[in-house]
Amino acid sequence: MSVSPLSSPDRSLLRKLVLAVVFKLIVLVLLWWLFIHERQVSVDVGDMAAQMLHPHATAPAQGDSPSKE
Amino acid sequence: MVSEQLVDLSRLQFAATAMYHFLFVPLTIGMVWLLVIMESVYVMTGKVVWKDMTRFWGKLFGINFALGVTTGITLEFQFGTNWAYYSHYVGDIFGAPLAIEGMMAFFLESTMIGLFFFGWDRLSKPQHLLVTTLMAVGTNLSALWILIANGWMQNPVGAEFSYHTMRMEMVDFWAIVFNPDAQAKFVHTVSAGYVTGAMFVLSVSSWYLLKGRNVEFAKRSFRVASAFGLASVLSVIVLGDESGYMVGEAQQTKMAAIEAMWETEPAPASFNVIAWPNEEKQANDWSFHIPWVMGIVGTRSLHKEIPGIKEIKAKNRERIISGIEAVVALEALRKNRDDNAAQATLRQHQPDLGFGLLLKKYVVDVRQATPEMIQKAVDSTVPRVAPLFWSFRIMVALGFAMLALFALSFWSTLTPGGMTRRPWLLKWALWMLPAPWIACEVGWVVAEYGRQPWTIYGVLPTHMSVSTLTVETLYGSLAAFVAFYTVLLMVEMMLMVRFARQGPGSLGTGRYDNDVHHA
Repeated sequence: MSVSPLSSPDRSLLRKLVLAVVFKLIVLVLLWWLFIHERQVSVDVGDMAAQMLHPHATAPAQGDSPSKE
Repeated sequence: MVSEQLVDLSRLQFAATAMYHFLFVPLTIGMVWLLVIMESVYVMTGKVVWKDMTRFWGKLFGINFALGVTTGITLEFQFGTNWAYYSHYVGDIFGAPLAIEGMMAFFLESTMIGLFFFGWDRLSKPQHLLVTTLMAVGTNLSALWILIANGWMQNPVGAEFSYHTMRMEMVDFWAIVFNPDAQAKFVHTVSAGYVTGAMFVLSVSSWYLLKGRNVEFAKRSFRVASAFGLASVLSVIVLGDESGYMVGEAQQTKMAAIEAMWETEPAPASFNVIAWPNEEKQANDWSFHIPWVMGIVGTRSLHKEIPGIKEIKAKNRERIISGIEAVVALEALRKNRDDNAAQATLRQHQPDLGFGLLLKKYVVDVRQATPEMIQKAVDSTVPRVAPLFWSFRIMVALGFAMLALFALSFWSTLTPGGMTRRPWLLKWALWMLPAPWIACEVGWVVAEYGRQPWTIYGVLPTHMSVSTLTVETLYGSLAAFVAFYTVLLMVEMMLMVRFARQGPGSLGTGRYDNDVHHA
C-alpha cells in the first residue's frame, strides 16, 4: 500500500503540535523541578495522627513507622 | 491548626487547574464518537466525502488532544504536594482507579490516536474503523476511571477507617467500581462531552453554511452533529436528573443548598425556579416556586420529605457531638491499642469521626470545643447557598437552550430546503459554541463546591487534607500553573481557528474550497 504524503498545512500542523507537546513536557518538568520535587510532603501514620488528634495522643504507637515529615 | 488562607489557596489551585483541564477533555470525549459515526458511514457506503469528514474533524480533534494531553498531570502533582494528608488518608482507595486509568485507558487511547492519524494508508477500511472505535472506547474508559475516583469522594463506599494505619482502607473494590454515584456521574459527564463535540461540529458547520463554503460537506456534518447532539443533550438531561437523585440520597447538604431549601417542607416539596437566597437570614428574600416538582424529582415519590438546611444542621450538630466521642476514643487507642473500651466507643461513633474532625478547624483538643465552636462547625457543614443555587441554574438553563437548538437543527435537516434556508438557526448555532463549556464548568462547580466542607464527603474535612506548605509557595505555583495553561489555551484557540477557517480544503484532496493544492 502506498503512503500518501501529508499536505503542506498538515505538515505545518504536525510540526506545531510536536513543538507544543515538547514545550509542554519541558514546562511540566520545569514546574515539577521548581515547585514539586523539593516540596513533596511525606505523611506517615504518626503525621496523620498529629494532624487529626490532640498532640498528647500522637506519640508513636507500637508498630508505627517513624515520622518522615 | 492549618491556616484558612492555606486551605483556600490549595483549593483555588486545584480548582483552577481542574477547570483548565476540563476545557480540553469534553471536546475529546465527544468528538471521538462523531469520528466513529462518520467513518462508519464511509466504510458502509464507500463515499469518499465521509472519509474527508473523518479526516478533517479528526484533525481538529487531534489539535485538541495534543494541547489537552498531560494537562491533568499537574492535578496529580498537587496530591503529593498540597494534599499530602488526603493522599495518606485515602490514597489506597483513590489511587487505584487513577492508576488503572493511566495503565489501561490512557495507553489504549494514546496508541490508537497514533494509528488513527498515520494509519489511513496502512490499514484496511475496517481495520482503521476498529482503531477509531478503540480510540473512542479508550477515551471513555479514561473518563470512567477518573469518575469512579471522583464518585468515591462524593459517596465513600467500600472502605473502612483503620486506627492501626490511620487511613481509609478498601474492603470492597467492586462496591467502589459500581458506586451508584460514580455511575450516574460517569454517564452524565460523558454525555456532556458528547454535547460539547456535537456543538463544536454544529457551530463550525453553521459558519461554513453562512459563508456558503463547502456546502455539501458542511450540510452532512451539520446533520450528524444535530442528530448526535439531540440524543446526547437528552441523555445529559435525563442522566443529570438521575445524578441529582443520587445527590439527594447521598449528599443532602448539597441538594438543600442547590435548591436554597432552608426549611423542610411537607412532601412533595416545591421547586424554587428562581430565588434570592439570603445566607444571613437563612431564608430566601423572595422566590418563584412550582409546587410538588422538587419532591417528585428529588425523591421519586409524593410522600418522602426533602430535609431543609435547618433540619440538616440540627442532625449534623448531633453527629459532631458524637464525632467528639470518636476522636477521643481514637486518641485513647493511639496510646493503647488494646483498650477495649476505646475500641467499643470508636466502633459505635466511627460513622461520625469525620464530623468530630470538623472541630479541628477551631480547636486543637476537640474536648475543649465551646458551644460557639460547635455552632461554627455546624454552620460549616452546609456549603454557601448562592454560588451553588446560581451555578446549577446556569447549567440547567444552558442545557435546555442546547436542547432547543439541537431539536430545531435536527428538525431543519428533515424539512425541504434544510438548514440553509434558516440563517437565524445557523447564527444561533454559531453563537452557542461556548455554551457546553460553560455548562460543564459550572456543573463541576456544583459537584465540587457542593461537596464542601469535605474532600471525602462525611469522612475527611478539607482543612484536614492540606499539606503544611507556605502561602508564598502556593502563590508561586498557582501563578505558574495559570500562566502555563493560559498559553496552552491560546495556542489551542489559535490553531483551531486557523484550521477551522481553512476548512476541508486543508486536506489537499482538490474536492473543496480553499484547497491547498489548487489555491
